[in-house]
Amino acid sequence: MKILKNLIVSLAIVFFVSNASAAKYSFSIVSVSDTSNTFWQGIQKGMDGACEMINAWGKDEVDCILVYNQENGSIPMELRTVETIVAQGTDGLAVHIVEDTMFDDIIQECIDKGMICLATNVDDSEGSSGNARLSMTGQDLYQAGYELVKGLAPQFPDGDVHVLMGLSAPGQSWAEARINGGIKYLEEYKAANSGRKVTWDTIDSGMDTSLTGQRICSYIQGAPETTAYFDAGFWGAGAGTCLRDLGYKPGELLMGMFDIVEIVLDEMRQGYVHLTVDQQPYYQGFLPILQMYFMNKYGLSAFDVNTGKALLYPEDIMSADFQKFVDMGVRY
Amino acid sequence: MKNNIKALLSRPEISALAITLFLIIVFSFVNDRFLNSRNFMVILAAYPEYALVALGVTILMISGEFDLSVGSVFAVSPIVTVILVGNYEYNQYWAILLGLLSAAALGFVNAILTLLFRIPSFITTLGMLFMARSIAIGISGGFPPSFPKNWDTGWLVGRLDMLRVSVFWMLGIAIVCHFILKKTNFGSWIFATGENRQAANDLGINTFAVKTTCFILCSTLAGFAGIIQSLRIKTAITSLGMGLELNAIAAAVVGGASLMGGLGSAMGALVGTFLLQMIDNILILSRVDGNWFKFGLGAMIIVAVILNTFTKNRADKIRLKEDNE
Repeated sequence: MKILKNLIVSLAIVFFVSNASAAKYSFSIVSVSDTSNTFWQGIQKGMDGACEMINAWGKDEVDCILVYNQENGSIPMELRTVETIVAQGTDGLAVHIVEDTMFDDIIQECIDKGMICLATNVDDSEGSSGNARLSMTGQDLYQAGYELVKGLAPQFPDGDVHVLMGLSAPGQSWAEARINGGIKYLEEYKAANSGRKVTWDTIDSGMDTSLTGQRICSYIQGAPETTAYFDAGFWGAGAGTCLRDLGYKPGELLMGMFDIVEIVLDEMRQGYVHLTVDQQPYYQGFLPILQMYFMNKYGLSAFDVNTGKALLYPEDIMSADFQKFVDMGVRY
Repeated sequence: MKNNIKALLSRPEISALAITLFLIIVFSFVNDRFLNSRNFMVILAAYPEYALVALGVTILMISGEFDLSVGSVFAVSPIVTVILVGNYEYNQYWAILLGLLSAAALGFVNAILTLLFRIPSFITTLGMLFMARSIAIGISGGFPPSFPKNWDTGWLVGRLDMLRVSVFWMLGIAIVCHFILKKTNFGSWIFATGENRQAANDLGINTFAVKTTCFILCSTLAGFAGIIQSLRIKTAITSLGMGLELNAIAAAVVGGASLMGGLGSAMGALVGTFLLQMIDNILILSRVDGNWFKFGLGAMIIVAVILNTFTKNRADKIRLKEDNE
């Protein structure tokens, strides 16, 4: 069964890659997520935008493909996809490096063969010293978690502070890094506020809006001293409904999270989410394609871009322009 | 009196019920915030959604089949409904009906593939799990459709003090399912089909029609549950119901349904789901560290199933002893 599944996946990738090779340049982005992760639709939008733009210049024909995982979060499956693409040959490949060692050899092989291999969205935690990829376009996850908590800390009430950290996917580097970054800031906050009791708990908050909401509300009704909640993803926005059920007023529990999916924006408008970090997925699809094109065409070098430090407070999302760009899928 | 005890002990959900009561009593001493109305309000908010899925899965399991696609069907129906209301300005009742019909159609396809081609339902519904998720993503264009503002959803998910209206929908549906399973010929046919399909065929039962109906019912209930969840949290995100199939099967088994078919009850699905929801809640209230949460959850489910088997065996022995007397 497993062999059959692997064979089908490999054939599908070969089909896509060989189809794409009809153009002068073919570029691929490989994700560990499956198509249900709406965040990656934003990256696809950026990739498509870059591809359309280059094709509109009329100089070269470019094909771009975002290869999703069949099984959400399966790193071995993502690795197999990368191996297939490298074996087939490519003009450029951007990989979602969600694990520190598994991609080392294949990316090195890709570079050694003279192909362009970049990282997008998530990088090796040691950056360029941990993986041979030529550049990184994405969020510094640890720093983003740090900035998220720091960004909301000025709103902590006087007195003792108790924070709940929602580890959406225990064991997955993106979630662990963001939460550890947040905890790092809490440690500094605690040291700087020695007269106050600063505590925190970390729970497995899950990756389902309803389930995450339920877990947050279960926790805070058991620990009503909770001051703030931080989520490693966007699923914490699901708590808005049950917070209202429990009679919580807007702002009574501070909430900070990531990304700007509709439910997060809606809860920000209602006053239940107070800060979100926009890691600008459009850039994470757009910029790797642009880099790969210029590197192929003119031999230019790769460049790192940190796309993920944009802190959005409720007042930042109220403009008509912002909503227009969300509707277009560019801000997502 | 003896007959009453015998009847009680013969119910498949009795052990899950006993474990639930046991945990409620024990944990109410351990944590004084467990047994309060606010905590149960949190548990009960999402409970009807999971219970309805488990109910459909249980009935299908009684008929001797599985459905692994319920989590994906759970996403398809609300996305169809929200798109129809939001983008095409359909009347909400028509939109919900069409959302349910889309779920029913997927259940029908599951049935036809399984029964006509004689493929194990485990495999056909595994395929449908991927296909239905793709449908949900494809029809929404990858991005969740905008949830219509000012949509009056009170008749389905509105709040009535501590509870939501959806609890009553779930209870009503569960009562109807219980009645069908226990009091109608069709209910007997479901049990007979699940216990021994050949024997049921020989008795003149149209097992093809029975199983097809159960597949459709299972998918429709999953779709309805998805619509309820979507209207409650006011979003139709494409990852709705991800991984729900395993929870639903676990709830059905904990509630007394047999993996071999021919055994289970509507009440068992409700109790099994409640028990799993409560275990989740207990672990959160116990502040189990995030990295160890799934270990705790898995361990508690295994303990619940062991206790379930133990209680069932004890009940069987008592029943046999009473029969001999």
